[in-house]
Amino acid sequence: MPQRELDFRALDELLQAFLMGALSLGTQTLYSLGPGRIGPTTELMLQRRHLSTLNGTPLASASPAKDLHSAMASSGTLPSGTSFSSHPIEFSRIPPALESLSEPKWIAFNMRLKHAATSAGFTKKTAAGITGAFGEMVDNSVRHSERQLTAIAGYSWKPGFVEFVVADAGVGVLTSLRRHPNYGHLQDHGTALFTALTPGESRYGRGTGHGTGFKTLFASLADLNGFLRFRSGDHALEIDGTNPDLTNARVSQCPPFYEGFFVSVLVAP
Amino acid sequence: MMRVDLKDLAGTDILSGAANGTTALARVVASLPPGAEESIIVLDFRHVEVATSSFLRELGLGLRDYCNRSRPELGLVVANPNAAVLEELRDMLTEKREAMVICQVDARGRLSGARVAGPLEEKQRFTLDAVLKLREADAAELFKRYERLDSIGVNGWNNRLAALAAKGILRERRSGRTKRYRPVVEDLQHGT
Repeated sequence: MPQRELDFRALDELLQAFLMGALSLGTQTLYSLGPGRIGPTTELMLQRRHLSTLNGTPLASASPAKDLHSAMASSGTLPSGTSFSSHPIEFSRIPPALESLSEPKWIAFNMRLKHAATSAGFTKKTAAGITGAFGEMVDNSVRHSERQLTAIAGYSWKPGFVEFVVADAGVGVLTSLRRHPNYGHLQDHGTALFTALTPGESRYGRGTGHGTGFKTLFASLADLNGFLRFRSGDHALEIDGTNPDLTNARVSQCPPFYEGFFVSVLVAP
Repeated sequence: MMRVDLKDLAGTDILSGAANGTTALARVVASLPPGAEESIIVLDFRHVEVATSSFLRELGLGLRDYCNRSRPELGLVVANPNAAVLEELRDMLTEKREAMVICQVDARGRLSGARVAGPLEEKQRFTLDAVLKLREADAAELFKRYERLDSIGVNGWNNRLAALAAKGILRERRSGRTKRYRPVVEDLQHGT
């Protein structure tokens, strides 16, 4: 059976095949969950939770899916350990209460991401910026998802790159934004994704001084190479290349429906 | 002076997210000693690598508003931000059309290089310059001094001074029936 590493393109093709009912007939590929690409794995695993037929997807290696599954099944809402030394791959549920984001164990998880970034070869300053951006994504998830207990985060690294994911099965970006009258006109998930990532736009309303988290994310990636994927509803927004920001964003319809909000950030020097 | 080492307070050199800013605000407020002695809170960002806009908004503006409301004897300055923190702070202040005083503070607690960060409207800049020249002033005094240059009345000067005090750039004290204003720290410079 041929093997293929599960990147986002492979993931989209796999899910497309599933939607067309062609998965069991046409899929003879064994998908390898290559270490270091936790983004596609996480998105697939979260889809598998909702699309039971996908549970037959042939997956070659258990890790990092095993790590993710273990974190999702965990009854605790804080990562274990207070060490600042990174693992090659680590997932944790996100503490559901805003005040828990200041707990030492959660701070330690953030510090392990920072350590992962420096281990991958980034400067201390860049590693701190990436970790700060991760914190903003986590804060967004706890603040806006409305289903905080579903939120999960992870990171992985190898020499030359670091990656993190933040995902939840909450109300999604379109529903969240439409809670505010400024965004009552929004109709589709793609426009909602682009709007949410635009500086100054927030469910608290335009021009309120909120909506700065994604600006922080893009600033942290200045002069770096990155691949970013955001999923909510039936759309994806992807950005890649040097100095990734909204000016080179690609928004596309991307079934099946993703319940909640998913952020995957891969960074290379 | 009450110096708050933010790295110690938060337990990390990366200060991100509005939630953590709110938690830091609660911790700073809880640590304030009781009493009505005039003093200044120094938010010391020494050893902090990153502080994001949302964290700075919740802590910085939140603490300033708390002091205005509940502890008017306390002034507030931001000290020792590195370039990354300063950039985030300026972005946040510009977005919110707010201003704060930033400075350096050394190990002995000596403040230096105090200046205003964030945008001020033209009339506010003019008012601040006028107070800086006099070191302390009230509305009537400024009205008399600048009557020929500015057509605004005493009430207008009062409003401008009160607006700068609300931003935490000037502090006010009562002198009889008038309010007198002076910079929140000595040797404050105007430019950013």
